[in-house]
Amino acid sequence: MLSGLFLLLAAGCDREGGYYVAAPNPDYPFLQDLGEFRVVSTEEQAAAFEGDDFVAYDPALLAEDDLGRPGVWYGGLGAPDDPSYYGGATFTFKGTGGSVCVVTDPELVFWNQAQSPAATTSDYLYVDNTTDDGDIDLDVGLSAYYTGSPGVEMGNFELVYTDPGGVDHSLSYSQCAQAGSQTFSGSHSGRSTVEYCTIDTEGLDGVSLTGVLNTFLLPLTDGVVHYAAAVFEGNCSALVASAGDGIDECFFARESDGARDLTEDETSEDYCGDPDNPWNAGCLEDKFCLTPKKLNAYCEDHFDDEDAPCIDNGVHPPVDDAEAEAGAGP
Amino acid sequence: MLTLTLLAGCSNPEFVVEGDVLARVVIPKAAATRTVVSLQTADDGTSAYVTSEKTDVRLLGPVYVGAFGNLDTVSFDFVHPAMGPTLSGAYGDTFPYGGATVGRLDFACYEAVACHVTTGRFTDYDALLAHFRDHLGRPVLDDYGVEVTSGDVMEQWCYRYFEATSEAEMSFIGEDKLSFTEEGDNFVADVVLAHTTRVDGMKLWAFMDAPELVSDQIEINGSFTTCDAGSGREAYGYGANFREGGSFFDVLNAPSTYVQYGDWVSDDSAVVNFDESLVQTNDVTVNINFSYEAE
Repeated sequence: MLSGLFLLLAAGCDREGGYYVAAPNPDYPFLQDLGEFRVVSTEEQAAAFEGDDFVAYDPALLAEDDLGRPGVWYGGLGAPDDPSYYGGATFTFKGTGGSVCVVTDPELVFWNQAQSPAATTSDYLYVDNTTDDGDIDLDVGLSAYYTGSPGVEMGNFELVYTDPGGVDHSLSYSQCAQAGSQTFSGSHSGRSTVEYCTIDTEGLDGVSLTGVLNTFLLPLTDGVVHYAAAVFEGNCSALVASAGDGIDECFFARESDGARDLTEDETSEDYCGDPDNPWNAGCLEDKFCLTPKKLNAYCEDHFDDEDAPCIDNGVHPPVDDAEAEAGAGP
Repeated sequence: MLTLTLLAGCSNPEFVVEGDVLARVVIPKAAATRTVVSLQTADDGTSAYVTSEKTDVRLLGPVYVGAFGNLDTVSFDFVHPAMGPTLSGAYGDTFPYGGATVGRLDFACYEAVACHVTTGRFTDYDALLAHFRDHLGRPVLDDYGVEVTSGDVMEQWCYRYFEATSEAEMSFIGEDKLSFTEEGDNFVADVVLAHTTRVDGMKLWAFMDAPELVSDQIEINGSFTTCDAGSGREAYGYGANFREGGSFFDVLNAPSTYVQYGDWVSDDSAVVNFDESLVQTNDVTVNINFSYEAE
């Protein structure tokens, strides 16, 4: 009896969970200070739109200004040697005296069948491969209130306010208010999903603010979360209105590894629609962002490709294209 | 050794910082003296609004009492709780240690009086109906738009609405539930701030949300700034679909949002002292003696 119990306990020890911890990648830091970003002006924003599509990787936006400040930043963050350390990146920007919109988007796209029960058989027939998704949580506040050491140690904007009675109150000096589905401020979106917030810099013209990109989840596939980040002049709602589908996962395109190296041909409609061509992130992103989505067809063509983020859930076609577009089941 | 441990445990049981704070609220009768509006019908059947000055405890709205680290006598035209950093740009973040009310907003069975009734002010249904008719100039109408003229009718409606069987279940009426008693030129009430963080030297602050009362816009009479018409239980019924209303949740956190002209606000004299065991050592009186009026 006792030996049986011992055997049971021993069997329970064969899983230490290491699989869920991303391995360090020597090419990517787990902590990084990105320096100062310039605030992308409304004129620059207007020039980067092609119709409703915002081309975030427009060279003019990526280029540094005379002070060496990039407009849109594409980067990658890796894992620490010791997984108990918090990782992430920080950047600063100067207040304009008006509203600015801070946006970040980790790679790549994530879809959840449960989020769209009425359309699971059309838009999201294939299960997302979650091991290739990353998650970054955005925070912004006055640099003077940031508790971390940029590039050395991540911090936050949580400080203690001692009231006149001598009682301490833990207080957030973060100015990045993101409302969740229940409208609670202080929320963050899930894996791969864009995060943004409007920062009112009235009275803070020229004052340094810090953007914090906290690494919340690293893709297990390569241990690196690629992302894009930028600060835009104006209120986020104005940016939402400008972009056809708002500020969503498709706002910062090509943020995944190597996606910006793809040629126009390699992301063309013809190329992506040809099942003989290998999967690439640019095609997947474009198919995900299309309305109505063409994701199913793309996954159907590539789900045998082990790199493609589509998993066969066993209920894939036959699906009539027309039914799929209308949201009907197979 | 064990004995010592047990003895030590008795000298400061559980190290609980929160506890009840007792105080007395004093508000002058002047705060309950208003120019009331009454709808009166003449012998020939014509109706007219008649105004007169009256002093009546029913004209006191809910009184909000809070405990704070200190009070601010500079930033506003009235004494206000000291505020923490205001990052949002809005005044607030007073970080109250605790709070209570002397009379709270309550729902009195009819949609027409949602957000207009304070507990601890009415002896019975008739007293409530008379208040709306003779003070506010707007008789209580039932859900069909018909004036409710009898306390008996209101009682039956309330029993039906709340599925209640006794007056004891109606928190807005009852001789034994009245908040204030008369003492000279004041109305006074005892209040308990339950589960309050006890800090020696902390201050109590209070304000009375006075009901709107004007003669040229009868429909707003009796309304309260602190009532959120969109909150409270949602009532569904035949021909009825409304919210019962309730207090805003941040009245003590952002009082300047709610203190309006006509309200009465306390001074800065109410200090609470505690001994080392956090036992309250002094009687505390909160004087709501400042009438906040437009200059």
